[in-house]
Amino acid sequence: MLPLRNLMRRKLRSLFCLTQIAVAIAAFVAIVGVTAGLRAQFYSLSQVFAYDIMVQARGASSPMFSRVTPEEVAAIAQVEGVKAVSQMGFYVTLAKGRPQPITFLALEPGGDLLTRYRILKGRSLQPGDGHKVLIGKLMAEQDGLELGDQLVLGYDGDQACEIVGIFEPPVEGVAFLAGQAIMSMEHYEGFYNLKPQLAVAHTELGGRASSPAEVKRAHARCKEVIPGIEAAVPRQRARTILEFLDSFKQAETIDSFIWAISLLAALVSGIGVANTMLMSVFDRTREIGLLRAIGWSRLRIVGMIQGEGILLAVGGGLLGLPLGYLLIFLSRFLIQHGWLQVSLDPVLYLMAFGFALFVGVAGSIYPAIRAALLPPTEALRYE
Amino acid sequence: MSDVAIRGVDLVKHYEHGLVKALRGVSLSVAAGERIAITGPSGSGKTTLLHLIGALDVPTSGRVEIFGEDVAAVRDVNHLRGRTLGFVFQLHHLIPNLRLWENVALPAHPLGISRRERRARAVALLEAVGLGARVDFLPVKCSGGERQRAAVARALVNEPRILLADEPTGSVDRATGESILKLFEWATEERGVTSITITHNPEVAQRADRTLEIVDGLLRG
Ligand SMILES: Nc1ncnc2c1ncn2[C@@H]1O[C@H](COP(=O)(O)OP(=O)(O)OP(=O)(O)O)[C@@H](O)[C@H]1O
Ligand SMILES: [Mg+2]
Repeated sequence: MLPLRNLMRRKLRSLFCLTQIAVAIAAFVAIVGVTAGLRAQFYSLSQVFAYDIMVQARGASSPMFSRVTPEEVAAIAQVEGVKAVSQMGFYVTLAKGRPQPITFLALEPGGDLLTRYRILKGRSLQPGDGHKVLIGKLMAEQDGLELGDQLVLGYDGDQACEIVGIFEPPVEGVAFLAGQAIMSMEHYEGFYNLKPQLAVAHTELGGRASSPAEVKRAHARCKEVIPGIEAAVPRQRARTILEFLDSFKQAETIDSFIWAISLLAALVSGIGVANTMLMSVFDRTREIGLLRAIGWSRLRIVGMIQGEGILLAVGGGLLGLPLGYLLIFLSRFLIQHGWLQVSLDPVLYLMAFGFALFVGVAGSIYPAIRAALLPPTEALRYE
Repeated sequence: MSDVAIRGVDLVKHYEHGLVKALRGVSLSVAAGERIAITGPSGSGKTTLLHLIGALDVPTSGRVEIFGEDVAAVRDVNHLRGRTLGFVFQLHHLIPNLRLWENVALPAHPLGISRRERRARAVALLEAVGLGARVDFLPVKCSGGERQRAAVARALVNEPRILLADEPTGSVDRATGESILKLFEWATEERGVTSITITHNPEVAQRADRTLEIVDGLLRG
């Protein structure tokens, strides 16, 4: 392998370049891995809530500041195309002996939303359940909580609730959801004197879209129902889950983020390859002239230099891939409680490989052309 | 096939936009199998002439014919350089990270032959130049004379019909110079190769069939 041996001539220089590419590719892998995870989460969210319409007070900057009245819920239920309406409330509170606050969802026992939570241990909430709560799998694991344990809530620490069930959220693998807890709407309204904040109109009971195409169809169906809802409850604004997710501009942000990082990584490693190969070509001016003089075509010279560039980049990629995974692993470890979800798709390997290949080819184009244009007479010049 | 291996017609070569007139109208004709020596003072245009004959550079005016074919009209100049011509430079220009046989085999790469075949050819030639024991050495492990002999082997690996040498014995001792000359003679005698050798050494010039002297960009005599 001529390219490999040429690289081995300047081991340190090649190694520096390799490291540079490896770091860039590691960044690429980490970012793409993390964002692919996010995207997957978004997709499963849009799957699970495909047939649902979120109804929230107009002008409320967050669901926390929204309100729906029982009359409005009743009005929504009458709208053509709506099969059921769930109410939802949020309550963030501290529990004794737990440093972070707990986010409680208040849901109606037997309601369509609560039925989507898979109960792993114990039971779900039933009508009349007072000081009884469900907790997420992650919260149970992290706090070492078991069925029957008491959760002492409130800032005064005087409201003990019994854990009757441990659930898996409907969107699996979302750390944030699995770290929440659920109380019954009855308890939420009765004991805490809070009011439901959101209404969710279901155009299909227990509806879950199984494919991207179905998500689209469900979305279209929901869009048809929305004008009816907004006419029935003018104070409220209705949105599909896709619109809701879009309102965060996350999909676009993620895309441009990936592009920016990839571009940056490509630029950094491409410049590394270009710089290394250019130095190498200058070093070997006479040698390349000689090869031309003994019958090597320009194309063959280009091939040789590009071969070296590609080898560098792919070598850097092979180094960078595990480095990227290490980064992902570390960040996962650091952001344990957060939303960070990573995709370790094998497609990522291919992407990183393709990325490295591209960097190798692109980075060595200019040096290769420079080499090919060297006059063969250089070989005969001495000194 | 033409009896004339190389023909140069009114070769003029200017450098630096005409400020340097390296060749000022040189015409020459070399018969197939002929051994030519070119002598002349430093800066007289010898290397320039060799470049033009070897299709490494283009003349400002005039033309070069190789076996009757106008070099300017040759479609595949790489093929011409690689197959018809063999070059020996004043310095060996061996590639330092390649073993001796790999250096010798370099001109054979574009021929698309297998590595094994390339090695076989290179080894045979290295043996012919007395380097059978150095086949797998890197150039740094070889003496100057050995390197220069390897460079000659490299020039012969594609069995060229014309050998062009620019002071091949300029930087080696007498004995090595002698062995290189012997190789050239072997090539011309055994293979009918036409050779042009630039030299400052009168002894070397004497062993040629004919000596051309260049002075100030013109052939003398
Ligand atoms: N690439 C170039 N650019 C400008 N001038 C050049 C170039 N190559 C050669 N010359 C000039 O052309 C003239 C002839 O050069 P050439 O190399 O042919 O001489 P030479 O006879 O081979 O000399 P020497 O015996 O010293 O090798 C010299 O004056 C040289 O400076
Ligand atoms: Mg010269």
